[in-house]
Amino acid sequence: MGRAMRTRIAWIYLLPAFALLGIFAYWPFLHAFKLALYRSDGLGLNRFVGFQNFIDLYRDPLFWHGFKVLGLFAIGLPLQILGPFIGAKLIHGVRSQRAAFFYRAVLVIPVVIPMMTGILIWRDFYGPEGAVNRLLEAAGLEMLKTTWLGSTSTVIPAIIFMGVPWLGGINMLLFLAGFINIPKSLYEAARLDGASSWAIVRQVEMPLLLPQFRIVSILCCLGLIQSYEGILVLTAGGPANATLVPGLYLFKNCFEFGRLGYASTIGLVLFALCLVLTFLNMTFLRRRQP
Amino acid sequence: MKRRTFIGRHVRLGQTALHTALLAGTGLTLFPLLVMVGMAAKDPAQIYARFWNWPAPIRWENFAFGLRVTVKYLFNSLAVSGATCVLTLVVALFAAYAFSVLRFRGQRSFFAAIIALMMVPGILTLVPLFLTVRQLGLLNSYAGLVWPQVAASLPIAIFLMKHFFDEIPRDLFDTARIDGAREWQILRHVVLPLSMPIVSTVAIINVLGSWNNYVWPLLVVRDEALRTIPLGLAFLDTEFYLRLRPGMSMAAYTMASIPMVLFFLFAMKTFIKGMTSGAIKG
Repeated sequence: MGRAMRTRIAWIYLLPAFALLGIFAYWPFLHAFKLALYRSDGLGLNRFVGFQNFIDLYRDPLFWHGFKVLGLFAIGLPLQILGPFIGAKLIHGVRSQRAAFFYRAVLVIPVVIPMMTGILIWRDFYGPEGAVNRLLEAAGLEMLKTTWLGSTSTVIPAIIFMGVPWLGGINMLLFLAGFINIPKSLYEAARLDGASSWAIVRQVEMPLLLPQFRIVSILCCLGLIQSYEGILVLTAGGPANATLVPGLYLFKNCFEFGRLGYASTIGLVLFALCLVLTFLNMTFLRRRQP
Repeated sequence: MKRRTFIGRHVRLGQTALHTALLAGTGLTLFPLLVMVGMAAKDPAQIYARFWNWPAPIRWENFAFGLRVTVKYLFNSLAVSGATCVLTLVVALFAAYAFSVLRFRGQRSFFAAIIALMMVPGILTLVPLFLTVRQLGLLNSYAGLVWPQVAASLPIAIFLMKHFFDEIPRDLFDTARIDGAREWQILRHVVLPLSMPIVSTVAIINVLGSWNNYVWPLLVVRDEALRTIPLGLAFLDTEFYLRLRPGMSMAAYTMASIPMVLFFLFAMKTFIKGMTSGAIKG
């Protein structure tokens, strides 16, 4: 078969992929930049305003407030990163294969329950007559009862707490795969040197699992910046904007306030933030590697 | 001898602590789900007066109701996730084959152009993507649900498959070509059978993503008849008659969770391998 022929086949094979990506990925991506320069309601209004959206955004207290909220939610990140590591470490230590299999299966189950189910049951649990208040009642802690999602001081801890006990999920599987790949001989050598369990964690396991830490932490950070579905369903940004993260502010600008250009501008800022984080993550690793 | 027993006791002690911690962890993980099922089995009076008690009698009619309201959402989710998954796999297989096995001018740049898309967050393209889909007249249709999700999953699918194909020895392709096999025959009969691990990985990532997707169906779907599980569940308790009957909502959530959990229990090994393999290479 000739070279020209093979090139033609290659293009035929790539055509469906590039057609779909062209319509549903590349074009929307470019369109996002264009939209940011327009005042647009997606219907009739479509007026070029230059960088006015960026200026408005810079002066928009709600937008900056969103990053403060994001910072508060970020308090949960160490739990989401270290929790699965601990979960994997515990399962890795279990001698009985059967028991390890059981624990692993149970800790993965939340992944296969529809996310919406988790969100909706917790919304019910946090209600005035919900499971959380009833648990406090049963424990004799009635004075702690509150409307968890309805008060600005409890809503963010309550949403972070939905991840309890933070041990499982896909991230735990990633760490576990890393643990399994650590050669047994390294453990034996460390034991012969009289290393304590803590020293093994610090000096053998954590350095060897650096790639896993890196991918889990970048995924958690990017997820934090981008995800707002849970908040949309739980509080819709309330009470008093206490949970209005930038992603949700984008969503509301587009689909509630009809400010598509402005929403696109927020999208560009978040995109830039994701790029910076990814870049930092990459350079950080390169410096740490011998 | 003495030292041996010491170590043995030490290990056993460690194991007891491990099991205690893990049992607590699994208990905490399952607790909300157990509360959900427990509430689902009760009527409002039982929930009010005996929240922590075993449901007696069990209100089976709640589960019947739950199944009745969620079955069409389940069907929609199955159709959307199934179509998204199959289309992603087929399109990505051909593209990955072209990038890994075939040779053409500009190959590296075009591959880089696809990888670059992995850096574009969905939140940036959400608004313009919605406009595109509206302009194409795909709002409120299965096509509007499926195609954008296929496109969104293509970059990672092509990336994973291309790297998997790269590990297949080149001799295999040369031999097949000398035997007169066409490229699509090589893809079908040589590459595909060897690639089941990566195909199942991509399939699982894909199905989990589309099964859980809430925002996109929320934007695209107008008709109740097109709602997928997350959308259907979220709209469920806007129904007035469910407000005072939390048990019935909980039963609906329970029924909606069962298919994926069953699938997971049957295909656990593939599932767990699929979720981790390929995700990390150094």
